[in-house]
Amino acid sequence: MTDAEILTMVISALLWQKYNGSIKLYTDNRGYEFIKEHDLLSLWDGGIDTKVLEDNSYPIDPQIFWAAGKLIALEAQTAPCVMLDTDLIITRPINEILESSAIIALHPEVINPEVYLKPSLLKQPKGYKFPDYYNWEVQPSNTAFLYIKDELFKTYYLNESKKFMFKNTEKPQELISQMVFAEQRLLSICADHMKSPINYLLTNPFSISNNNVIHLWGLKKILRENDKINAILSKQLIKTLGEELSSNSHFQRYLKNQPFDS
Amino acid sequence: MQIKSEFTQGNNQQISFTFQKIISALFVDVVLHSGSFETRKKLVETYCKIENLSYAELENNLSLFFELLEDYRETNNPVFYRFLKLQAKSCFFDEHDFDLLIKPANDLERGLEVWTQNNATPTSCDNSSSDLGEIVGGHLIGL
Repeated sequence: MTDAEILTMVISALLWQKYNGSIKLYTDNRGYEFIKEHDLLSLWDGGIDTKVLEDNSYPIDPQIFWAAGKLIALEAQTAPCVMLDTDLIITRPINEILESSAIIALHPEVINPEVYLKPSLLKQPKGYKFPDYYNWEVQPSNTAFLYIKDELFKTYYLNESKKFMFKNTEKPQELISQMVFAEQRLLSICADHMKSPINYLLTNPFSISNNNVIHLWGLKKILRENDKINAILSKQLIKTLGEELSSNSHFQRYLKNQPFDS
Repeated sequence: MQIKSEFTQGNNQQISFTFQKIISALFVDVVLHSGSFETRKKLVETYCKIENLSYAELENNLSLFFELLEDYRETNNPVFYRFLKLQAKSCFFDEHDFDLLIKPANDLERGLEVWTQNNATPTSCDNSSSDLGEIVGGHLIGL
């Protein structure tokens, strides 16, 4: 993680606690050590859980399904709940929005055929067949933010995802299509089957009317390659959001030390 | 683009008209005439003292800008352009002058198209169909 990513994670956790309630981190032992090295163990008021991921023995290839940990964590958390990526900041109270729907994701995604492959091109585990009722026309959903109200739907969605991921070990040529199907496209397919519409925080990711969400998304790649962008973003996050958090002891180190000078 | 977020009402330190002109001249010299920031540092430091500004901070901001400008010239990455424009504000460089001095690659949309064609390989770092290096909600933090 770059400095800007760490700072985003800190702001994400603190602003969520400020406006929307308790937050818990699910991570593995390696992630825990990283958090500990950066003196952030007490950042999440709901604590840090490593047991769920460390004790998990699902037959899932982590290279192909690199976000499976999110779904394993989601399975462990009782609905209603929000799943929030660490590179996503919710800047305001959204409880009223959460009360409006049973399923809320970040934004719909275009069915880019190079990423959301047609079913015949997806690698499938031995003996698996896509259910006939799957509607391949529904738009996938970006799940960097995901709210699920109903435990029944959560269980159904995760079961469908697990059926696809378990023992699905044939390596694709790229490492996007399998995971985005299992997490993002399946969410929409399952919601469509259950006739439970998905609402979105954003109608499109770059909407100027967006007042709620900052999501690093594709910028992470650039941050990891360019230290100047990393430094500029870090300073700008502190400059624009620092006032929100200036009284918070976790955040004060960033205001005082400005550790991100390149 | 009007920034609607209340978060961007942060630091709005002003500098004198004279210092503004010195900064502008520095930018023109470096950007258009391959001049050196090094030769202007003493003057910038002098004016920082006069105007009670942190020279260390401004020097750092200017260095960041000029280094990123080199990266932008090599890549024509439209995301870099947005960060350049943001960083110019930290250097007290007028936004209007920035628009005149530094053009996006051809135009921003064309630059985005060219960059996308050259760099459209998805990565495993992002759980999304789109990997143009864009941030969501950048306007909430001044981008």
